[in-house]
Amino acid sequence: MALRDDNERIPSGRDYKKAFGQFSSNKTQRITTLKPMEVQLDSQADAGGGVHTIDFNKGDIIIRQSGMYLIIAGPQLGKVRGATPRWIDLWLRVNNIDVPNSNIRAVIIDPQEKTVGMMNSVLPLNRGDTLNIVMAAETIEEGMGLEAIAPDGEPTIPSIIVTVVQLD
Amino acid sequence: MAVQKQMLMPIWEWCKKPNIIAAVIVAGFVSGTFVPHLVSGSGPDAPTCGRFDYSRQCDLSPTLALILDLVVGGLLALFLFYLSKRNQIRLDQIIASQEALRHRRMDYAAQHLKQLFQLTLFTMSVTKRSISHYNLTVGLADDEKPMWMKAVTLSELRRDEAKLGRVLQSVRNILTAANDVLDPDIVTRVEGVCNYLGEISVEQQADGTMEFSKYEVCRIKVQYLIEMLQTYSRETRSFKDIVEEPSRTSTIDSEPELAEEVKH
Repeated sequence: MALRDDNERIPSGRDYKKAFGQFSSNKTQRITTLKPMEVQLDSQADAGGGVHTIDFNKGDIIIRQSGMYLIIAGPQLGKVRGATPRWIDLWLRVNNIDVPNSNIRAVIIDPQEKTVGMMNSVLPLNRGDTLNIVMAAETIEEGMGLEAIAPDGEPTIPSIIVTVVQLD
Repeated sequence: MAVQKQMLMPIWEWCKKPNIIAAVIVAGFVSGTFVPHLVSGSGPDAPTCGRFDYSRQCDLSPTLALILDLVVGGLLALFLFYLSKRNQIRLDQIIASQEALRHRRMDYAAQHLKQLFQLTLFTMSVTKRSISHYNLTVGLADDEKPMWMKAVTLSELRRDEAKLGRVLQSVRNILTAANDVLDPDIVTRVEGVCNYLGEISVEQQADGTMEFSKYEVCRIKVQYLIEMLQTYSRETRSFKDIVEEPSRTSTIDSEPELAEEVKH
């Protein structure tokens, strides 16, 4: 911890004045309750030689530097069974408070259908703020949720990719 | 018409200038004070009356009237200056006392918020300890002692939860009372932490154990806030922005426990 100093440089020599982070989950996450569920994350990209300027703990992305942030999330949506069109909603939550106008909805018809949602938002966040992605679905009977896919001979497709970049 | 407008416009513009207005007023005052006396009073009423004589035979001479006017004007100006000065001193005193009160409120709010969040941190860790104690009793043989231990630890747990709720309520009260002296950014940050902690509760799992969900995140959030509150300076009456050095690894160990398949 240190007071802000623009001339400060990290040991690798590169100067990271703005926070950034890319998070993903390689686990499939199905909706098991009709209440909103937090999307879980399990890995963070080691950008710039493993420098982390944003923390995460399961589903919580913890901001360490106050500022204006751009948040982009791409969830891989799907379901296990059923041929009825069903909706699934995703939105952002900051400090356990839902962020207005961050919602998206996807409608999935059958298990073969795979959709990538696109969430984006610009938010002022303070040091210590927690950011979550929350999802809710029309039904819990059809195994709707985020799907990680492991194709043969290709890298695993994560169930969600979240990018957080400090703008100012 | 166009010519008239061109002639009138500069005069109108001149009339708008404060210097010109002030000069006209001063000229009016000076001429009103001096000219009538000088013009009307050509000399004393009787040949024996001097310029500064004033009696039943001698009227007030213009020169003496002018001097008296000046003396009265001067005294009036002094009186008005005294009133203005006195009011200004009173206003300065009121402003200074309000500023001192504002500083005291800000000092109190910053100090008290810091103490309350330290208490929050302590209460959270005590709650976590109570949860550990409670969880030790789960799974023990159902005789008298585990039941008693479970009841005691559960009541401790509920007491700690209630205490945490009261502390958060106190924090919110301080924010309400001091939101006019605290920086809006600070109020937003404190409110954010309060909102987060307010939604967190001890939950019972399917196996009967209790869990303080997101304890680590709560702890980090409160610690960040305490760090920021500790930077409060009574000299500058402000908080310093703290920036952590980028870390090689996350300060939190992620513990993904997602039991789900990877699809092929």
